[in-house]
Amino acid sequence: MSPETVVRTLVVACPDWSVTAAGPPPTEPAAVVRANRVVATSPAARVDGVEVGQRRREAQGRCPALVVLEADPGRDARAFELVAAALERFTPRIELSRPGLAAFPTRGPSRYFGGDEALTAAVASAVDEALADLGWPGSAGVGVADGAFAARHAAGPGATRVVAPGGSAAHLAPLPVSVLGRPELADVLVRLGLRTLGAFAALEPADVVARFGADGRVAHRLARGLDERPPATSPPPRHLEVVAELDPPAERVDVAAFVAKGLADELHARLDADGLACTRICILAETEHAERSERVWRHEGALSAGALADRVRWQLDGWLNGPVAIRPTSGITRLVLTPDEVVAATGRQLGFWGGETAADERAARALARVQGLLGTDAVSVPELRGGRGPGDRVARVPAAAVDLAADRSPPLGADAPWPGRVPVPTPALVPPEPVMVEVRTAAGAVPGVSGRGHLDGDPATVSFGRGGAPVEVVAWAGPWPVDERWWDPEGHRRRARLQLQLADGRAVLVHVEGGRWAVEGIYD
Amino acid sequence: MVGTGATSLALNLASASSLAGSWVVVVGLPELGLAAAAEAGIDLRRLALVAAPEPGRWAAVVAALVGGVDVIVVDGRAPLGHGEGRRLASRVRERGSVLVPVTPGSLGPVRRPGAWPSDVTLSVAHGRWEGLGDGHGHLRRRRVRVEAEGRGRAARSRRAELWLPSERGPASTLPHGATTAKGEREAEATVVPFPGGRRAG
Repeated sequence: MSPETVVRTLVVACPDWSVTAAGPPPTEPAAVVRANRVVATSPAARVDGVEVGQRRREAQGRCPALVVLEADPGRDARAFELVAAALERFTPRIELSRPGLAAFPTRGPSRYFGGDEALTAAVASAVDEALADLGWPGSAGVGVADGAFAARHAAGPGATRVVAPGGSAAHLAPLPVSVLGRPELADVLVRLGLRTLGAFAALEPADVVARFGADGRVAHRLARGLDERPPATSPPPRHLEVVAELDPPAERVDVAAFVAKGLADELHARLDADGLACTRICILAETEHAERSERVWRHEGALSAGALADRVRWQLDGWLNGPVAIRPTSGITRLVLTPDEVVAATGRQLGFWGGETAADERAARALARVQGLLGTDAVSVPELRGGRGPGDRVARVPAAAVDLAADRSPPLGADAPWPGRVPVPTPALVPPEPVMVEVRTAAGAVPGVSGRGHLDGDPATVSFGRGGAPVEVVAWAGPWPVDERWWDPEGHRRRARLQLQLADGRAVLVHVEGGRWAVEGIYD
Repeated sequence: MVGTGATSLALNLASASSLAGSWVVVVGLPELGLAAAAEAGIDLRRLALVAAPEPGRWAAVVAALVGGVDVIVVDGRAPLGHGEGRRLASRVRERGSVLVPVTPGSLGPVRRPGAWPSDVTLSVAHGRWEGLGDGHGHLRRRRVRVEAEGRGRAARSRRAELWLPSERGPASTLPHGATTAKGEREAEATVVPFPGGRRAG
């Protein structure tokens, strides 16, 4: 292993930031939910057994008094501005991974404050002061180590810790591989018997690349106490910087965010043209009165245009709508996006089955807007299931319960043969409730189906609605008898289905149950 | 899309985009058969269903989807004012989505359709099912004649003979000049272009 310099970094980590930002005190059981899954919990909720990744229903089951909050990245960013402002007193250059996680290189500040320990203590007390305003004193952790990853894991909740220079790998060694944040990789490693980062780090880098690819190499570097990538030797080319002058000045976030979206697209196009991807971006906003907000945002993968625009919006939202003490006194006149670290674009790895694409992202946003208009329950997505009836084979599940961008493959058994199923094609229209109709034989009797599945008379006419004119049946087939859920006295039903072709060109799927006929589907 | 066969026609039009990776969103139409949508070739992983909004909010809901979603299938029976329809039409043209209002053939009385904008109106003029006998067989395929009437570039009215559905599921065209069951020769057998001919990339 060649000696590689790793930037000594201080990390401030607020583990339950989404809950902190939403307002409830740490003593109240609360959870932040996104797409029906818990993404953050308060300490009180954890005591009751609420865990990240649980479904909303399950979390509420464990803790009936749970306060459930919807995730809102804008709110998180707004609240974090208070902490960011506190950190800005130590260094002008703080780096945000996401609201709740900030870092800065310690070289300068450490010398000024007289060593890492002194700096850590000063930062911890400043952050604590800011958090006390939110009612969450002592919830943040501060860690210093070589490299941001080691520093983040040195910063336990409510604790400060300084890892000696060169000690990052040793500090990380006993941690479980799950802290890498790559569940699939961690799963494989554990099955290989590599339970700790130390055991993983001991592998030869070449072997890791051969077995786990580029992402495995990144994880391996982290486990060894290095940064994700070797430090960049040259700064990114200057021509990538994009600037927008705002005239008239933007007083509102949405106005500035609109400009930012255009800037982000432009920057992305320039990066694309050079075959580069941006992993760290510096966003600078300036007002008429020369007030400035400058932040560096980093991303473990590459920042897409949408992610860039989001970060600009978060930052401006935190600045313009943040606490009065840090709010600017006039509108924003200038926005500058400068890529701070670029890497060769290797293309974003798509999921195995296609996964997330730009179209998925756009659609998810559009559907979120509709959910905002009509309520979250208004949007549903189809899910393949097994079944015999035309309406049984695909169910509608609320979109809030699934991650639209993730892979959703049909469950096992959805394609399995279902005896008694009516052959394809399936009716294009399936009324939510079967529509009662009158079916008659040529002699005027109501045909029925015997226990053996025999029809006792050929259907000749159908009339829809009360007293509707009878329509002649020109051809028919069936019956397809179904004896469903015979083990369940409540759900047990025996019915027989028939296809009828009518004289007016229409075709319908009807069923007879207990001597009553109903239309179940229309072959529209 | 109006009348008998309108639902199948709409599903088949949307399936081409769906297979190319586009999202399809259906607003209203609670009776839409989702299994039929899958058989028409729509990828269910990129299909979302929006419950019918209250009467005054259809325009707002569809406008929110335009631009974000490539194909929007909407219940043509839903109320929509003429002004709203015009505004929606210009938004659809500007953002490059495709709006497909469907007024399906139904069992009950047909409600008056709203003023949904459409550059092309497709209707099934003549449909005949095959495969069903007198107590035997099952519905296999349907031969339809689709007629298109439009405005602007699509003003010339056109017709096409299709299998809707075909035996494999999705619609398929009949070969050029194929003879119909009655023996008459069809002069033209082309698939009608998508409404307005615009699609989002």
